[in-house]
Amino acid sequence: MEKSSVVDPFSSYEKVLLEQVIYRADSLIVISDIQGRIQHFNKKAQEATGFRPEEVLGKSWSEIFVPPAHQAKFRRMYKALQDGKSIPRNEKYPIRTKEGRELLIAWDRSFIKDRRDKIGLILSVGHDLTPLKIMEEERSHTQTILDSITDGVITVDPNLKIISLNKAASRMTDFNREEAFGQYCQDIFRCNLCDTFCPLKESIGKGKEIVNLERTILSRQNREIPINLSTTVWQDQDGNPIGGILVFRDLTSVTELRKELLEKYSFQDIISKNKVFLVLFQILPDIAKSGATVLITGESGTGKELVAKALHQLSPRKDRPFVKVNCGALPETLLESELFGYKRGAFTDAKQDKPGRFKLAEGGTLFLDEIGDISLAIQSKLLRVLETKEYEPLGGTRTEKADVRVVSATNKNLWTQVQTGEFREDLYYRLNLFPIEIPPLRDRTEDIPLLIDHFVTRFNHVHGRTIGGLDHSALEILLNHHYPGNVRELQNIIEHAFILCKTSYVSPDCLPAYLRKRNQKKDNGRGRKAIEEFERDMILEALRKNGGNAKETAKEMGIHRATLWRKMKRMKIAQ
Amino acid sequence: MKQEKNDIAVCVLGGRICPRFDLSHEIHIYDVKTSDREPSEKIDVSSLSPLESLNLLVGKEVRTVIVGGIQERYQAIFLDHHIKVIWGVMGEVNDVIQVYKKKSLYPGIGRVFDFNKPAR
Repeated sequence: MEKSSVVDPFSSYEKVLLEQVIYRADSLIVISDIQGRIQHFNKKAQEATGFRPEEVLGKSWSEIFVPPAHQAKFRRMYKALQDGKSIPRNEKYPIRTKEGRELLIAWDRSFIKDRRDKIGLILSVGHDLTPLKIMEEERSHTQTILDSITDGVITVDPNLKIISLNKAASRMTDFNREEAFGQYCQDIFRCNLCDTFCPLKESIGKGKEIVNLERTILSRQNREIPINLSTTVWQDQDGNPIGGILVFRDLTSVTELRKELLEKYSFQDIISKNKVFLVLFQILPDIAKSGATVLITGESGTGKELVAKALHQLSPRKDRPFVKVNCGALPETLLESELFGYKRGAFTDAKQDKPGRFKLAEGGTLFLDEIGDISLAIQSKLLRVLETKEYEPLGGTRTEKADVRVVSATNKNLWTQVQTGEFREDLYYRLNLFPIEIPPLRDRTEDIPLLIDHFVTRFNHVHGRTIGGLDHSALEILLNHHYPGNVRELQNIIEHAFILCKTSYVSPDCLPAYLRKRNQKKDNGRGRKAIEEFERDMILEALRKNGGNAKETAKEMGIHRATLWRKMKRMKIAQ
Repeated sequence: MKQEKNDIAVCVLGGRICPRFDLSHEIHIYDVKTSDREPSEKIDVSSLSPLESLNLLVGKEVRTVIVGGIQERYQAIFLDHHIKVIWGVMGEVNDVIQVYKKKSLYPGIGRVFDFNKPAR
């Protein structure tokens, strides 16, 4: 402790004791006389201000430490003290360092009286509030930045209690900062994974970053909002976890755009944005109206029956029956009676007349599936019906008229069968008046996200569920699959997932095991391509809706304008 | 004469009021006429869809459902069956029940504490 010889009311014992206490103190300690002249100045005060004792002792407090703006106040205070008036014991005011910086100090004053009970010295103990002030300023600065962004940001402590939320988070959840502060995140955020998997917990506990999970939240007013969320751990300077950060984005506009896209790429019950299908959607009404026989070819599960039904629905026969016969599933004799019917007594068990499918489809459409599987004998009878519009039921003597449009389908190459003599050439040409070839799903991966959306919507309706879709990993698996079973296989996969899915989004665990195993082996990159194409469509649709205005488009899609520009440039989209 | 039921159903997740009806893993049924602090029945609904849980509560003829959030479509079904829904409730189940018994629980109440409960 440094000292001066101006006033010294202490005994030598007191002085030693005081010296020790003051020297070791972790606070700034300055002792001044009633005129404000500095008498003692401890080490902490030296460190904080940068002054050496010989530079300050005996000098006026206000002259050394007080910034110009506060000097008048100080002079008034010491004048009041000299006049025997009281002054505040606790105050916050700044002091000036040797370098001219200002430190905000919380001062606690004690008055040391002499034996005549007069104030002899003023003991000022100060706590430097500058770090707190800086922290507060930084916090306010950070809050201002966070409030200016459109994504919701919530920070939590390790117990998952909310520390802060920005304006966007407040708007989406309908909870203001004061209401949310200190509450458990799940009570405010109300996300449809709070019950099973808390990404914040995962991030805090394992230091793992969780990105781009698509879920829904339920606002305070019970408004369900689709969101995309990411979480990360919040660490102190030493890397210790002190909480978690949750960032989420409102996907309402994106979801609406997806719905619009689905409608845009739907035709009757067929969903596709593949070029082959888009051409087909254009010409299908004309083919339907023409009444021509149509041969639909394509692998099993590609949706041949849907095209046949669309042809029927778009034709003038739409109010009459659509009758399907699976030719491959019936033996020859049965198929004949099934197609043309039989009369009572035609064979042993024919106890009464039975109308055939031609009769049942009268005025409508007869869909002959797996036409490549029928025998040559049936082929010739079928050819006769197509040529003469007449047929005779089994055991019948009268010829019946057939006003039926025939649409057939096969997953075989009929022309090869013609060449090998398995299929009649004349029938081939009769059936193949208008050929339609349906591409397999592996050749139109751009349709997979659309079809997934469609099946999710349908199964939600059928099973009374509210599954929001597939999470990123599950989607990646489905986009990379080869689909030997085509659309039917995809439909079965989604239905399988619906049975196993106990949460609101389908994760890889809910997919059939063969898909998960296969996906571990390879990623052929088709998935990413399909996602990009889907995204490209969404951007084009949003641009169209907003008259090409990039600012409005970015706003609608919930992304920054610069991000939109980057994406448009990468995808070669001209505004 | 059929005795009118006075049961309430509380959607629970980890000892607290479940933040969403569709996330409920457990539903506790309380008979508010009694002074019991324990539920008369605890139903595991973790394997049920929200609609199945809803139908189950309708079948049990509960009078009131207490939950954090609930989609409007589910609220509408409850209302059709004259079941009152007190939503927007946060807190520990026991606290909420005590506040309900004091007739102080209302939709949108937010965080609920039972200030009269003994300190631990």
